[in-house]
Amino acid sequence: MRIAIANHSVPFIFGGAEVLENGLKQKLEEYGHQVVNIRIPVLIHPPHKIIENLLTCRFLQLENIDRFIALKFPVYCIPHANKVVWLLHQYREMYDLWDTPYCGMPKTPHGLNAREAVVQADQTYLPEAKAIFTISKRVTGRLQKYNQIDSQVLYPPLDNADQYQTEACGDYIFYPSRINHIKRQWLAVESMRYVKTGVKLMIAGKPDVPSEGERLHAAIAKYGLSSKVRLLTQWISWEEKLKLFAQALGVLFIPLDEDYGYVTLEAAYAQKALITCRDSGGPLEFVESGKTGWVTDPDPRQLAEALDRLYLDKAKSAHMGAGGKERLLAMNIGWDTVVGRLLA
Amino acid sequence: MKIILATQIGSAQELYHAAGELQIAGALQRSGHQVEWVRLPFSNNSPEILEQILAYQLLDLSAYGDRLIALRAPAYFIQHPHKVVWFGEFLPEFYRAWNTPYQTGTITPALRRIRELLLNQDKKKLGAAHAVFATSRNAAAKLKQCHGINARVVYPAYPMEGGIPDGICGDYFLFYAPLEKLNRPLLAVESMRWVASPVKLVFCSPSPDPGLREQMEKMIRQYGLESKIKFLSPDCPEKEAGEIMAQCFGVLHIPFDENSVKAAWLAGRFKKMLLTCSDSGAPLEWLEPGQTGLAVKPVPEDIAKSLDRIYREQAAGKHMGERALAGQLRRKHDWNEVVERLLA
Repeated sequence: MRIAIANHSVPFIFGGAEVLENGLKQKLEEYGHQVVNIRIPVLIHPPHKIIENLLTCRFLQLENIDRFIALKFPVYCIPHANKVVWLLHQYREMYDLWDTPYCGMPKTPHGLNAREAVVQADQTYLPEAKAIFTISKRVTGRLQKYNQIDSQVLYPPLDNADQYQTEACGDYIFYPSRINHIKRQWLAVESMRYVKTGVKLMIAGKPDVPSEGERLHAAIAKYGLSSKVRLLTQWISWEEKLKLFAQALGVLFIPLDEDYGYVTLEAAYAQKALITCRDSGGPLEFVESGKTGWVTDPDPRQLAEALDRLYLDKAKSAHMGAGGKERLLAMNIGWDTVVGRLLA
Repeated sequence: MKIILATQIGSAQELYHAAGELQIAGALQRSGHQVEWVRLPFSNNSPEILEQILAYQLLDLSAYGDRLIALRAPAYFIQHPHKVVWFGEFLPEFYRAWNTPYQTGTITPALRRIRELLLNQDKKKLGAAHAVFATSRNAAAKLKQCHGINARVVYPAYPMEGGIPDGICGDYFLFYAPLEKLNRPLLAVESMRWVASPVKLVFCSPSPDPGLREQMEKMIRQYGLESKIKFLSPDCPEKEAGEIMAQCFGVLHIPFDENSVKAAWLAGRFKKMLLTCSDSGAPLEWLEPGQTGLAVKPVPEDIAKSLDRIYREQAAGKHMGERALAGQLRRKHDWNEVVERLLA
């Protein structure tokens, strides 16, 4: 089959969506298909650029392709008779994030117009697809809530899952993720002010913009947490990352309403207990509080308590980690399923 | 520098081109640049040409990257303040095939109007670029002639090493170009009527134009050329394609006014002589007539004479192929040089 995968991305930023895009291409090729990537950059400011971005997609024509797999808004607006959507997320600032501090869209007539255009496009063009899959119940739920559109959950597998190992639990909780406001590394630092044990925090990730990293460094200094919190903003190698997972006491992953979150799967394959928040979205589909990790309110004191708990009973923490892997394996997430369903 | 490589993934997914694009990205990265791809679809065959161009034009990437290198047209319609164009060819139906016997469609007033708007827009966009380069002298000459634009020539750095099997000669000439009017496959069939020797012709080409293919087959039956002409699937595995190439006398490549030097390169790489026409365009730029191949008038009798000559004087044909390869190896043009010139 000749397949086109379309992604909508911010140039020079590499995150989970790009990992998924590359992984999907590689797997489809391994299954004997010819694959091309369509990559259209995200345009947001000023708001009318969103509408232009949408029009770009609608005016494009895709020929000589047997199956078109679209991952995001607005690339699913590209017309094609054999379109399948595997939705990573909607344009969330126009939906669930609209009335939150995480929405960068101005509440001006232009901003409202852009929002209207996005909603209209979703209502009109998503139903053109032969099938709509999403990467989590979270995304499916939002699509149902805001657009009354049905979809099926198709979890993305983690690449090189077999390379994750576990070693004896160390003293630190690992939080690997791109550093930005919505991933709430700031909340993680805040929590460390309230821990009562010797538990440490290791944050690793590339800041989306340098100021996000600087702000975290400043907070660590301000609260005098430099002996308890380490912040790695430089690029770390694959081997280093595996080691940081293997030797961690547990994994912390507390974004606001994450769509999916590979970190959850990484923690499970490394057999580490996961601490997440009630409003973190995707991770909640995997973690059982008290059994494979802890789910708390997004409150620094509650988080600190959970961190201390992992430190105080390392044997139990290790046991929780093992349970997380068992649970994940039982969910049967793999490329055979993904490829089979996307190409059905 | 942060560099955006913008291109289209159209219907002509020629492997060498895709591979070439990856080479550019690699060369840029080796020179310490950050590279990001922007890839959009495009359909040459759609009547909605202006709509598709508008889609490119609406994409304003001013906010991203220090430089945008526009590869396959119409990528240069994307907006960017520091745009470098490396022009190969755009919409042959509206340019080199226009008003020639090689045009597929008929000229209607509406089509004439579309062409006017297209040429006008094309000229504006190319004229606004920071710099314009062309992939051949023929391409540069056309930019000058159609749009009054001066473009410097930067040839693609085709790979020269590897994949050069020893020439075990079969008894055929190879025609590998897609079976489209502009490549004049009917002229090739017609030529076979006039050959006096037992030389054969093998087509190993995609057939995007079913009508033309039928016409060819009808002509073959009419002239009783079934034993002299053979069709092979162009989708055969790479190894087999290599063998088909390795075992021919030479490459028959007789397009009308082509912009790409690829045919000359490909023949040379396989140590084969190239038989082309005096009006074939860019392939002549890399051909030394009588030394590495032959260029004859686009007349069946003349082509037939040359086919016969190479059949009879096999040693001479072989030498031409060897000289073609030797000449290319001396050229020492690599991707680093391409990148250096495009960014100068």
